[in-house]
Formats: sequence, C-alpha cells, structure tokens
Amino acid sequence: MSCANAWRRLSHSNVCEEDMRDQEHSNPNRIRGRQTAVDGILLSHFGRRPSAALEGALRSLRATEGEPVAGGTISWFTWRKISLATAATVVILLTGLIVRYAVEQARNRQLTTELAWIEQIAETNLVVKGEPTNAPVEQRVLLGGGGGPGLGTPMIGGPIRFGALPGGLSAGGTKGGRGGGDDTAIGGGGIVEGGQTGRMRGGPGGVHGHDNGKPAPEFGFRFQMPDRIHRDYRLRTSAPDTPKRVVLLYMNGESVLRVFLSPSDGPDTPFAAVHLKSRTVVAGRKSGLLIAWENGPTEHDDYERFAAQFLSPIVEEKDGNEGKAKEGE
Amino acid sequence: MDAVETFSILAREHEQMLHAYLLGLVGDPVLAQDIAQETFVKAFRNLHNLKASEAFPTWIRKIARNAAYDHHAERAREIPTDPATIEGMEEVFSAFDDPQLGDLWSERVKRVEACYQDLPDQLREVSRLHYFEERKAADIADSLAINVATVWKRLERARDELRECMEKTLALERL
Repeated sequence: MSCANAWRRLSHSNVCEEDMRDQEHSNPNRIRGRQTAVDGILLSHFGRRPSAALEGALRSLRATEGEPVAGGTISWFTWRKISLATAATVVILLTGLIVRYAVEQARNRQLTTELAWIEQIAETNLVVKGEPTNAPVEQRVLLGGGGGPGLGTPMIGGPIRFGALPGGLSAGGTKGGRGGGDDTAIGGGGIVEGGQTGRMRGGPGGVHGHDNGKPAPEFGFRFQMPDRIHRDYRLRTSAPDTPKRVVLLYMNGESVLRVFLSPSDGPDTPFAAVHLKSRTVVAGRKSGLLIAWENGPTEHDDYERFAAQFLSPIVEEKDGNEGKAKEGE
Repeated sequence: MDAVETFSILAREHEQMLHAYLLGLVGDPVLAQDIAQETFVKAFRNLHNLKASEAFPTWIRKIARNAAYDHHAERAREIPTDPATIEGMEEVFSAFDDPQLGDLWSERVKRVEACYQDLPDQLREVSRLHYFEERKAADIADSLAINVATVWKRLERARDELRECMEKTLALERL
C-alpha cells in the first residue's frame, strides 16, 4: 500500500504525511535556513574569529551577581549585604560630617561674635613702642574684681596707651603698695604675689598708666599673663580698658604676637582658625576663658599648650580639684 | 564551585556553536558578539526556566534568536524570522549537537573541513577568500578577474555543495 493510500484510509485526507514532510523539507525557506546555518558555521569555523562574548558575559555576571572577577567565594547575597553595609556606613559618615560641619559653623559663628571686639580695636591701638620689659620670667596671675589693697609694683615697661591692666604686677618677691605711678606702669589694684604660686589678692583698679586719670577697669575674670612665651616672645604691654577684655602684646624683635582674652560662658571648644572680617586668629574656649591669638603657633598640636599658659592656675586647679582651689584661696 | 563558574563550564562548551549560529543569523560579527554576550547573561539568569527535557544548546539558541530580534534596529541584514527558515537552521545545528560527533564543537565541525577540501577548485578558491580571508565579493572579483555576480554564484554553489556533503557525512536523514 502506498503512502498516499494508507494516509487516505486513516485520515480521509488526500495528502500523505510523507508527502507533507517531503514538501516541508523542500520548502525553499527551510533550505535557506540550512544554508544560513552552514554559512554561519563556515564563517565561524574558517573565519576563526575569536569570540570574547562569553568572557564579557562572565565578567558582567561576576560583577552583578556578586562574584569577584578573580573567582572568589563570596555569594551574591553576601556581596549585596556588603554593598548595603558600605552604603549605610557612607551615609552615617556623611551625616556625621554634615553634623560636625554644622556644629563647627555654629561654633565659629559664636566665636566670631564673641571676638568681634578684636575687630573694633584700631590697629594702631595694638602697636606698642618702647623697650621690652626686663621683668623676670615668672608666672604672674591677674585676678579681676575688686577686693584687697594693691600690693604689686608695676614692672612692665613701655607706655600703655589704652588703659592699664587692673592690678599691679609684682615682680618676684616684690611687694608694695598700690600700683605704680607713672605712664609706664601697669597699675591697678590687682596684685600678684611674687614667686611661683601666683595667688591673686586683688585690689581696686588704680589710675596708673591711664590717660587723664581715668580709673583703670577692674577685671571680672581670671587669667594668667606669662612674661615669656612661645619662641621667646616677651610681654610688652596690654590693652584695652575694659574689665571684660584684655589684649596682651608680646614682642620678639620687631615681631608682635597678640593674645586676646575675655571671659566666655560655654563648654570648651577646640582651638581652630577663626576668620574675622579683617584678620584671622586662632581661637577657642577653655575653662570659661576665650583665648585668641595672632602670629602664635600654627600647628594644631601646639594650640592647647600655648593657650594653657593664659589660664589662671586657680581656674585650672578648680577644674582638677575644687577642694584644693578653695584651700588655696 | 559557584553558580557562575558552573555556568561558565557549560557555556564554554557551546560558545563556538552560538557564535556560528549568530553569525549565520545576523551576518555581522560585531553584532553577533554583542548578542552572544547578552544571550549568555540572559541564559544564566533564566537557568531555572530550562526544563530537564530541554537540551541546553536548543534552549540557548532560542534565547539568542530572541535577543537577535531585539536588536533588529542594528542588524546588518534582514534577520530571518520565517519559521521554516528557523527550522532549517535548527536542523543543521541540531545535527551538530550530537555528542557522537565529538566532545567539542570544533571537533564536530571538522567534518566541514573535509567537505571543503572536496569542493571543486573554483568553489574552494572563492570560499577560501570569502571565509578564510574574509574578503568582500567585489574584492574577490578583482582578485580573480571575474565579476561580482560570478563570485556570489560560486559562493552559493559552494554552500550548497558543503551542505550536501554535510548531509551525507552527518547522515542527516531529515536534511
């Protein structure tokens, strides 16, 4: 039985399956498909084109599926966890930096405000003339605020043009009556005991060293005024005439180093450069004292040590041991 | 051994086959390589869709074909979409999938080299210039001092003879 007859019996169709298959296989499109396949094989085999497709795909997969290119064992999930953790860390660090920046900006704004008075002092007011002091190198402490007769003898030479420090300065071992009596005196009521302890006895501000007999202000805060500081700068004079502010001028040859002190409420802040309108100073708050300077140490590591020289030992003592401080008084 | 590494072993085995398939399909070697790369990535991500009864080579060729259609805008020539044409291609490649012909694709297609050697001189020369040296028809025509139409005709005859040779060699009953 021929294929066609058999197929007719089974399917009542006039077309044999084999015939259909033959027709299908001789379909020009199918032949074209075979030719296309052969063409591709020939091009690939004889053309010897290197195919980097797989390597490219594997690199891509390893990068996106969490596999290190070198062929490690970190799973995609681990890789994703690491990525998320890294992203979270970056966000936290950035937030920290932003907060820190904002805090520093706020601190700088506050310091700038508090240091505004420095700007108000005319440059000429901060220039001193005359010979450097021969005062002995010793610690001197000024304690503002009335009380007690002046015992010190003014020892710091040079004209004081804008008010004397309240409180006479006593050279080591020298004790005297009220603060000095000529233009060169840093006179006032404040007295420093000679020697090393620097205990302040205080006294009303004197008229010495101040123009027109105007009473020198009394200081309402404690600070220390060393004779010699950083790089052999020596204390020359101080200004201005307000009980809440003082400028100490140190000289080494022609070079002038200025220290600005004023009481300041608030927590201690690190010392850092503060840009004022007309000048840049290094400033910070320490033990309730705002300390700023120009031409002082430029290394961060030296700031704290330098500033500590102007802190009253009594204040520091209080910080460290209040009982001893009271005892000292 | 991680999943990518395992996949790379499987994919490497079929890399050349896929290259040949895509070259036949799109004609442009650069586009073929791009599509092949895309195909491997898609295949890896869809491995879970590979049915146990389905052969990997057939499955990956299907992915490659669909990827080629996605690149229709970049195609250098018309990509065949007619089902009969695709089936024709599939018949040839399926025949070469037979592991009895060799473990590697390169071993299996070595039979093509024998067929090539059996080609008449004229056809072999044109084929050499076209497939080995990848020269264009016009260039071949200049080299052989014949016209371009003759080059195309000889290339077509060469392909037909190679196909017939492969039918016999591979005993492809259905071809």
